[in-house]
Amino acid sequence: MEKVPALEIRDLSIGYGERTVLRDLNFTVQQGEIFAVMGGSGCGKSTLLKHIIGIYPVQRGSIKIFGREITGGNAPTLDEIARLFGVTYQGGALLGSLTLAENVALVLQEHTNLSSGEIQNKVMEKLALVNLENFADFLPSEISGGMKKRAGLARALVMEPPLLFFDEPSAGLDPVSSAELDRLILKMRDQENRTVVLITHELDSVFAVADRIIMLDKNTKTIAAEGDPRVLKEECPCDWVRNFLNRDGLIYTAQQAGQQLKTAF
Amino acid sequence: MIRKFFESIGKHSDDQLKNSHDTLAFLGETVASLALLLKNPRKLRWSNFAYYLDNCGVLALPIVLLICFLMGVTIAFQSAIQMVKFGTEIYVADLVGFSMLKEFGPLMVAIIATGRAGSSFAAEIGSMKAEEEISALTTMGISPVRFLVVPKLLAMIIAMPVLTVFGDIAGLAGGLAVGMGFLGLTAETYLSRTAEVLTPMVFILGVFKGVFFGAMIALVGCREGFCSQADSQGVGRAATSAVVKSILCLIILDTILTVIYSFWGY
Repeated sequence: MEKVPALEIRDLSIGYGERTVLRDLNFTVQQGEIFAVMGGSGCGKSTLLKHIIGIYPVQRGSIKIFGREITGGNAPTLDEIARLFGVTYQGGALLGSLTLAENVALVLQEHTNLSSGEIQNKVMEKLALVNLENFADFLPSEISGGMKKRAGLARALVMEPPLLFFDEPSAGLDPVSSAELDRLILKMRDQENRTVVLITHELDSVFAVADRIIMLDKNTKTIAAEGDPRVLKEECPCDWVRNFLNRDGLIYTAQQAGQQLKTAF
Repeated sequence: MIRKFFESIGKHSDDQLKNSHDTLAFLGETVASLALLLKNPRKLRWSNFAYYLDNCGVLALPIVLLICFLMGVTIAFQSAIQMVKFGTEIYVADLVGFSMLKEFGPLMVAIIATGRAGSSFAAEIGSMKAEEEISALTTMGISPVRFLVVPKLLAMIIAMPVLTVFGDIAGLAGGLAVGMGFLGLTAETYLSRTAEVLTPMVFILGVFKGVFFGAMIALVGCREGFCSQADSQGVGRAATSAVVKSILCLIILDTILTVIYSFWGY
């Protein structure tokens, strides 16, 4: 029997108030996939995430998570949300007044009847998973950006949600930390059987971990291409998508800038 | 031109309607969260509650005592100038007592609390919004209102009446200092006159204003924080707006309570 998709988006239009940011989006993320939403800055990637996870209401269309419609009057309860998916934010979004352990424990205290000892064990298990077991008593202000993201991941994992969203996981990280986070993302899928949706424009990460991607186009406000990033890089009929994935646009711009500088001096 | 004028009126009205709707939704969620806590008090973050009680209550005490004492001194001096002309200095005790306990005590404490707590609530929630912590709470399945607003609201509802009691005492002490230091009254004369004219009900009703004022300051501060734009300028504007709106709401609420009390004969 075919598995229910982890995430199913149909005819989705999103935006703020009357301003539409993206329209007519259709895509499906299968269970066990690592799926990336890509596009240039300002194309609406993070806006799409905020609508999928229910921070803002959609303008039109349907979002199903494991077959459960979550738009309109079908919004899940707070308890359901915590069990359906976990989210890691760009800056970690840890609560500044709580230690890392308290941040991770918070969800368990809210949604389970576990004893404090059981919560403590679970928290340490998740912190160990992201190599932060020695920083449990640190405040978010006392750790680096990469560590905050990993702590955010530990917090997102603690309710064992089958679906994880990562908002710009590599943004602001050095290459080593970025690669470490990529390994963690692969581990989430390969060892923990979770589905992962990445919101990113980091090509290295995408080629390292993603099974499939969609490219969002700022001009047409919809999906420009969908598929395996390695295939799209070579064969995508859309020029700018191919250029984006090959960094051609960037190299061309850099060369042009260099030429202009030479001419000027 | 005319069309633009009507369009702008329509847009403004629409914005105001939406804002009213959001404010009502915020109040509704706050009430629902309080009801949930009555059923299950374990759901309250007691550590947060204790923090805000300390921050908004205990730490505000020195400034409340100082300002209310000086307020008592000022009222006593202003009234003494007139009373001395008629040889009725003893009535300074009446004036200081009534004005401090009925109006200036609760109101001054509330204004101090607005500057300290109201603005900090707005800034705290506003910066949490900018850092996506509010979104994170929602996606962790935790109601931001229950988690962030309720501990502040309960702390303010408890701290404000207690601070008002201390503010009242400090104000009376200010009046006493002027009575003894400049009007030649003895402490016994001044205090017995104060006790004679001020009934316990006057004191209780004044302190009771603190409950309403505390709730108002917490709700306005938190609401402004939730409405702030997710950037540093937005946080600054939210803090300013929280103070301005809180003071306006306090004056309106004080007027309403004063009218109601006057119908009761106080």
